[in-house]
Amino acid sequence: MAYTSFGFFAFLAIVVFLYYIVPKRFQWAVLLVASYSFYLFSGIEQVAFIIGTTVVTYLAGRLMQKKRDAYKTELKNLGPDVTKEEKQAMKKAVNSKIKRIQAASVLINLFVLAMVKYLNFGIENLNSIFNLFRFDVEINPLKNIIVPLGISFYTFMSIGYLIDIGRGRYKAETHFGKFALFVSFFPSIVQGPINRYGDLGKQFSEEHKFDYTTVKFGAQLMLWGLFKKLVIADRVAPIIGTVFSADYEQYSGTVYFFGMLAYAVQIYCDFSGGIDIARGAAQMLGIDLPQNFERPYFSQSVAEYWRRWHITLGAWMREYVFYPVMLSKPVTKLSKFFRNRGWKYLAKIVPSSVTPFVVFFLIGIWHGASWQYVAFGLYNAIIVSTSVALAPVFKKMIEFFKINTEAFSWKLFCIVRTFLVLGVSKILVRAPGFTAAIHMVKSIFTDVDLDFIFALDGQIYELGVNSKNMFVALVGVLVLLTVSILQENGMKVRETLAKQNIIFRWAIYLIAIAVILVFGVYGPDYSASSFIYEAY
Amino acid sequence: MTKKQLLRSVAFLLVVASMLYMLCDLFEYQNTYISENFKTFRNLEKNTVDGVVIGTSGIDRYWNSAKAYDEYGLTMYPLASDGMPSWLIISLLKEAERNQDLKLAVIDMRPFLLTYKGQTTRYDAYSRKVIDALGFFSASRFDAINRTQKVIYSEVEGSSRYDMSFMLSFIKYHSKWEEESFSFDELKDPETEYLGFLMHQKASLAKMKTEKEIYTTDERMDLYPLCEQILYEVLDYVKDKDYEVLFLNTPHYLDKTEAARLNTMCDILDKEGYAYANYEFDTEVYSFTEDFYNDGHTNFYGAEKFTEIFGRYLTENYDFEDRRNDERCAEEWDGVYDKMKETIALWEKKAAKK
Repeated sequence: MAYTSFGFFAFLAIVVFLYYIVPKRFQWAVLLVASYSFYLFSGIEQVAFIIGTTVVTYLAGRLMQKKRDAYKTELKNLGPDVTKEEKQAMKKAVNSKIKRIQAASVLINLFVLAMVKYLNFGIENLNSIFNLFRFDVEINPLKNIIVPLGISFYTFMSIGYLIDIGRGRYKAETHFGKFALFVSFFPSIVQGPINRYGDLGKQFSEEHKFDYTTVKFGAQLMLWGLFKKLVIADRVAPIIGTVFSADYEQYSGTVYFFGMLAYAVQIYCDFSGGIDIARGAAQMLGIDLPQNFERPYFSQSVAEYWRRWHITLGAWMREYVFYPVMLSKPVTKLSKFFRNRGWKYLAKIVPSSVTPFVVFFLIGIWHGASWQYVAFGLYNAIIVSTSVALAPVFKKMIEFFKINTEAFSWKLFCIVRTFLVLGVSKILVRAPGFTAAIHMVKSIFTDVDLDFIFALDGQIYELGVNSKNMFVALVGVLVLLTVSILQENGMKVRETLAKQNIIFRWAIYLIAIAVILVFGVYGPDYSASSFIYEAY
Repeated sequence: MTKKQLLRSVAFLLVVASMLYMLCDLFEYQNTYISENFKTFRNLEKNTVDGVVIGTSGIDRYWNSAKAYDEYGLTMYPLASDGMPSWLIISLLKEAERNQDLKLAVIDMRPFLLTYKGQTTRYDAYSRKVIDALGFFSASRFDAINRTQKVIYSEVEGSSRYDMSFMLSFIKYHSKWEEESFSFDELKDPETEYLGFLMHQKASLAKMKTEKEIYTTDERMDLYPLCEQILYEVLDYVKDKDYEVLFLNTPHYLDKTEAARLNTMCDILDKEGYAYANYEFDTEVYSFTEDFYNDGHTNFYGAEKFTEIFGRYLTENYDFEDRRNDERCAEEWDGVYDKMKETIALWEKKAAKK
């Protein structure tokens, strides 16, 4: 059931109604039934996967908690007579047990994810290697592999939970139903955000009274998400399909650049629109889901961009990959090695330059099982690592040229520079292959088509979107830009709107609804289910 | 939630609903002659119609109900639309039964001669024309939606799915503005209907440029399985009805397949004991260059001839009272044929000037 379908709105309305009329202690049960009902729409065979992940994660969590509790009880029973060394030995022993449980359960989750998402990718690469060394072996890729809805998202959430329990950050959930709800919560199951148990889990134990303003704000957020998804993202989608098609060679570099711009708009509006719908739906149920976007195209550096784009994935990577790798023995040793030789600069920057390669490799492969995604990750890693490594040089250059970094012009330059640098990575993932991507990037600089820029040859309207669609998309982007600038300057749009007179407010709501209804891309011949990030 | 908030919410939802209604009205094909045709039928005085002629453009271009009323006192209403698929016949019979005590239901044979496979888009559109023209909350509309969903997606396309846009057609039509040539005026169809008979300024006067040789055969060919299945469903549906049923083939050019299937259909009807009137193209009566605007449809003059012949057949074979004496019919039926002739005379005059 797609978030943009009428079926979903009817489903949500029923869930909201039931949620607020049942006794508060059963609200979680309504959500659990709703979440599994929602999941069942994607196919009964997919449910087995999510149940498997839930059971394994829940049991592992409980087991780790049991070990930790037993250790604490034992420590308490021993009283003050226990020595520091004994304490440490006991702690080490329990931590070792917990780590084994944690590692096993994390590996099981990763194994399932790898089987459904990466197995064929692995087979293809093995076949290429066999072919390279002229081995007469070929493994047939598995056909009809089911990739369960949202598996990347709920697997990461489960792994995060297991690591947090292992670290003793919070106690394991004892209520299986509530834990199952954490894994399967329907607003976030399709494309995130990637929730942390500490933030989301406790909300399922709280009682939620109907609050008019909260429900209203939730509905407004959904409306905004629908605008981004249906009016902008899906309106420009045909451009991307045309420019990045197998027939890409017929276009000039300027067309590729235009395609890159359109794709940047599409992917942002598609993903953030979907997240807004998810967060809005959750808000209507009194549940706060974390923000996943903070106007990423206003970022002044690639590192900042990754703190503002898919925030929950970035946070997950920081927490469970970046810091563990940074503080791991090999990296620490490396840093020590440089420090011992008096190379302080290298000792400082090498760990923070090397780690991004691990993180971005994982981010790349998380997005999809293809070398293009790996390249996308590594490209970002190179940019981030280089900027970290050269930060002192840039600082000196800024000082030398007496650049006022607080000036609007400098900020604008940084924003445009970051956007363009990231544009290359977008071409990397969207182009029909590596060769195509390289050809496109190269052409942008070498094959400029002025006629296209000024729409003189009308080619701009031959990319799958006619002038009317183009106009609507452009106006949509302008509205988005205006709202984003207001938000960037600290305005809370919904709260500000709520303070206005009722006629103005209603006029805005009605216009928004009418615009989505008339200018939204939906209905027959439209695949409403196709959120881009749903596939990740 | 306070009382004030509840009231506000209800008021807001009402405003949204009103806006939706206006948008639907703006974007839908409410002004097509099919909608008008069906609306006229719905508004007819209760139990004033002798019967209905259900079918495709092979009905609404042929059966001039106003002339039949004027000349024979018949009130046989053509409940038809171009390309109407066979699976909607039962829905239209249900629509006809709602307000009228039918004596006769005439059913077009043309839709049973077709092959629907691989023509989802075309018959989706034809089905929508009928569905959109039926009363929004009427049982016949729901019936038509269910049949279309079932047939188009499971039988024709080979997969089943539910398409909300049959129920809320705005979902389908909201994107009309995207078409380069769109203007709101274009939504208004230049065609008009007179008691279900279609009049079109060009088609009603147009004549084919050359004669066409008629293909006849004694051969038989199986009906397309879906059509055969639907035919039996129709026969099953009407078997216990109080009204009589007559199948009708209006004169037109039939290709080899259609001609052979028509023979098969007649065989089935003979076997099942149902009457049919098979008006094959009679060159003694009709001429393509005088009476037809294309090889499948009569122009106004051809319709005049057909109505006269078929009207006589009905009065001779069925026991209808002369509705010209029924005061309840006067308002809707009196003078329509005269008005129609005036329109034709005007168009002829305009055409002559050109």
